[in-house]
Amino acid sequence: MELHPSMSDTNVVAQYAFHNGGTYPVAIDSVKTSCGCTTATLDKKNYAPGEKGEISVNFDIGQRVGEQQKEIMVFTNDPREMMVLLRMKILIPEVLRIAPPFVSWEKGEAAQAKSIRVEVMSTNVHVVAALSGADAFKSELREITAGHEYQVLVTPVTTTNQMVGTIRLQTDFPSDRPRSFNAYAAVREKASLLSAP
Amino acid sequence: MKVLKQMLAIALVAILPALVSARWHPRRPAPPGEGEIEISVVRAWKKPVLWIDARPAPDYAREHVPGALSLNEDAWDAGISEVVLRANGSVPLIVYCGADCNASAQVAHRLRQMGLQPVYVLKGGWETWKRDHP
Repeated sequence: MELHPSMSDTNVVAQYAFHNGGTYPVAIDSVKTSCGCTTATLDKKNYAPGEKGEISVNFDIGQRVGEQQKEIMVFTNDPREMMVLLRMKILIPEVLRIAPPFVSWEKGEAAQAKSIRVEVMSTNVHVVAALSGADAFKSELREITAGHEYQVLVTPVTTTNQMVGTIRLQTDFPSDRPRSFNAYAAVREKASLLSAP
Repeated sequence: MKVLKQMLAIALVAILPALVSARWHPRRPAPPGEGEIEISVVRAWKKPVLWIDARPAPDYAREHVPGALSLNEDAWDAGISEVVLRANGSVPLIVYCGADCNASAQVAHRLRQMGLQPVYVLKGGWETWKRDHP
């Protein structure tokens, strides 16, 4: 099944209809999903011959973008078909194009600002703030092209210690539940000093 | 000349079915996906790698590759910090999930978008690693 949520959707629901085509009752013992983002609900457990039912699968979009594929495993007591695999493809539209989504400094490097370019993929969307989730980084939002392109300048307070921070890009879309997207910043050891895992 | 033609004919008779079988055989091995790597290749490197477990948190908690970090799209912000601190080009990142899932490909794609490299997806996932480490 292929789903096409809109830019404002925070979740999508897929309905999988089925019927017991056999000559004996079948019980659905459990329904498992491949991801914590996906939850499945079932009307009831036992289905008589010929009886119809439906499995409802909810997918939380979160900050995901692009093509997502999820699997739902339906376990039954039918010895002829103990497990049925349902597949779901979700094509999530991009709201913001963030490049690069990650900026980093080496320890000891000059604590100068690095730039993140943010392109808005719809005229309905505006970036209203770039909020650093940690005191270790400062962020500044600049509008480059009105309502279309932004620049976020990220600066570490210091580069003497390793640290990671989140830069939350807050939009005004949709107006009832504005969505936000994250970029990341880090101060890291020089590559040659990294220890093996 | 006649011998050469016969050799050519025999070669054609042998090669054609082989090509057909390689292309359409029902048990033909799946070609590797983008950035996929075989466990035998990883083993042959004989160098440290950073394993990234893209399965749901309960699966990771139950068992994982020793030293692996948990990173999946359900809890990206919780897992990404440790990954970026440990990965800056000095060790390859190898992402795995279950045998029949694409979470590892999605996590690998996102890590590459962040500029982390090199990033690979373990072909066959966790089950392959388990078979390789009985």
